[in-house]
Amino acid sequence: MKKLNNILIFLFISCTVLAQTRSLCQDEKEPIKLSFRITFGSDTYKSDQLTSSKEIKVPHIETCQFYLSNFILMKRGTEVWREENSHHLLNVNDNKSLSMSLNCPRRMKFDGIQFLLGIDSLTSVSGAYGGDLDPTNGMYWAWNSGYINFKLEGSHDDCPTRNNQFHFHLGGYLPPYSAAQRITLDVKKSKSIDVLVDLSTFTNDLDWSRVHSVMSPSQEAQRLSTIAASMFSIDVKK
Amino acid sequence: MSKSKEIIIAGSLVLLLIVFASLSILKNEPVTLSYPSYWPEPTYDFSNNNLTSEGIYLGRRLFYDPILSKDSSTSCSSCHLSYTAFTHIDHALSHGIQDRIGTRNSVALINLAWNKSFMWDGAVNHLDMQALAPISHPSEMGESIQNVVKKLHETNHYRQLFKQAFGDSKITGERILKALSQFELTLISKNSKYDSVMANQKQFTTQESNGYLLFQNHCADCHTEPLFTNDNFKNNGLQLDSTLNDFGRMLITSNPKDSLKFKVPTLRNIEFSAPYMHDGRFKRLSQVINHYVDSFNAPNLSGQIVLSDTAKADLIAFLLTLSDKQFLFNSEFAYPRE
Repeated sequence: MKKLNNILIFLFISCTVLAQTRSLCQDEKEPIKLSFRITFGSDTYKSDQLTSSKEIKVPHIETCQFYLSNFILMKRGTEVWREENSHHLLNVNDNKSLSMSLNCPRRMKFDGIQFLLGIDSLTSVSGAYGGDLDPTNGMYWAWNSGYINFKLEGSHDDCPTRNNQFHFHLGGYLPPYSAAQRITLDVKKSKSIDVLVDLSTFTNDLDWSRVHSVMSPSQEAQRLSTIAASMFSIDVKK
Repeated sequence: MSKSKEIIIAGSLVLLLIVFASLSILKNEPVTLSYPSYWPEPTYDFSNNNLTSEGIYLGRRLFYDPILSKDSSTSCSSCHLSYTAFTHIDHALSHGIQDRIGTRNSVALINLAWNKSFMWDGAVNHLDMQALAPISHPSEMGESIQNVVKKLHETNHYRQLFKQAFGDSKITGERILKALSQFELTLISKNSKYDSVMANQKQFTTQESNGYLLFQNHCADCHTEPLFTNDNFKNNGLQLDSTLNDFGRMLITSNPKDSLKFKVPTLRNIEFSAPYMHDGRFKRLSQVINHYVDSFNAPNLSGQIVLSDTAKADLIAFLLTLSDKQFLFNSEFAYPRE
């Protein structure tokens, strides 16, 4: 009976030590809030509030969602932290999706953030995932495997299509048309990171009469993806 | 030791036992696939989708359930029948909802754990994602994966089956696809006469032996043993069918060099998987062999094959040794009667 008593005491102490170690490890984390503010030019973007003037025709945006993945914090050009299972689906019409926490160690020094606009090729060939990568999110091509990195749908007066509709489903992970874009931004603050996403950077650059339907991996999808990457900058107003 | 102490210890032990017992009940039964030792390692990464008997059973139920289609008329098994090597034999091209006809012959689902890509043009890069293609195709099942999730969630028995397979009753696209994969991964054909000969348990007849030599000389580069496919894409000289204008692999890669290239299919159970080719243009094996012998026009194959009528018959005799009745009539692969 004494032996059994000793074993139980040993188990109890082990569990307590383990629990405390875990809690210490958790204490060492200091999440950084990462927020994305969607704008259209100088205005904060609100769905259905973009109006055309005589001089400038603006698109009516119905859907705009995109993947950001593989978040890395940098210090003088060197990686100091990398998020695990780093895949986030952002929807401009869903505020919840526009902010996230980077669960990095306490007092981490960094001066840059890097991420992909899109999904990396390894994830693209590794089968079914859940959460933001679940194919029910409508961001996966069934008949030419791969994630849609960036989806923009709506209408524009200049589109010579049915109901002036445009469809941009930009993606593709296979060379020569791999479309995911690596974005690196210099960061000054350290408690939170605010990123500006100016949709007009993408839409102002389009010749709507000619470019309105891109829905498969291609050179054009690749070209448009580089333009989409230029929408991202650090939000200096915040 | 005081009596109260003893009671506490005994109580703790009972509690521990209950915890362990409930854990063992919740734990699913793991399944490991078996295959001949001389086969290569499977391509499929099982660490991302551990096979369990509950997961396989759920996948089997889904495979045979027309609920996956828009009008609940068409299941995976509509085009992939177990008794005919998990393909269909009554149409050249696949037959979907509302009697719509697709553009390709359905593929035989055999030894999929060894495939690197799926569909005749390799459009799908992973077994898990394959089912999305027929589910969403307007001429096949015409449904969305989102709606499949919704419909399954409305059924008590599926919520229960998902709970048994995945630990809780949450139904997601990922879980549906992984369960289907689990069932399809079990579709291993390894018990043909050829396999028995390789295992020194049987012998080929003289005619089969002659056919085996011809096969090794003329066919094995693409239909590589022991899986009888090199899992690659080849232009085998078929003329373009202008009613379909199917350019195969080029539609995926946009590379003109891939024009008219299609996936090399396995020859296992070829006796039962007619019609043949991506568009099902040949109904009989003799027509396939005549294509390679008489109508040869495939610059990227090794050269014209010259075969006498006797040699053709020998080659077919060998191909019939790839039939695997244990696979075709395996009750674990058949419609799951509750």
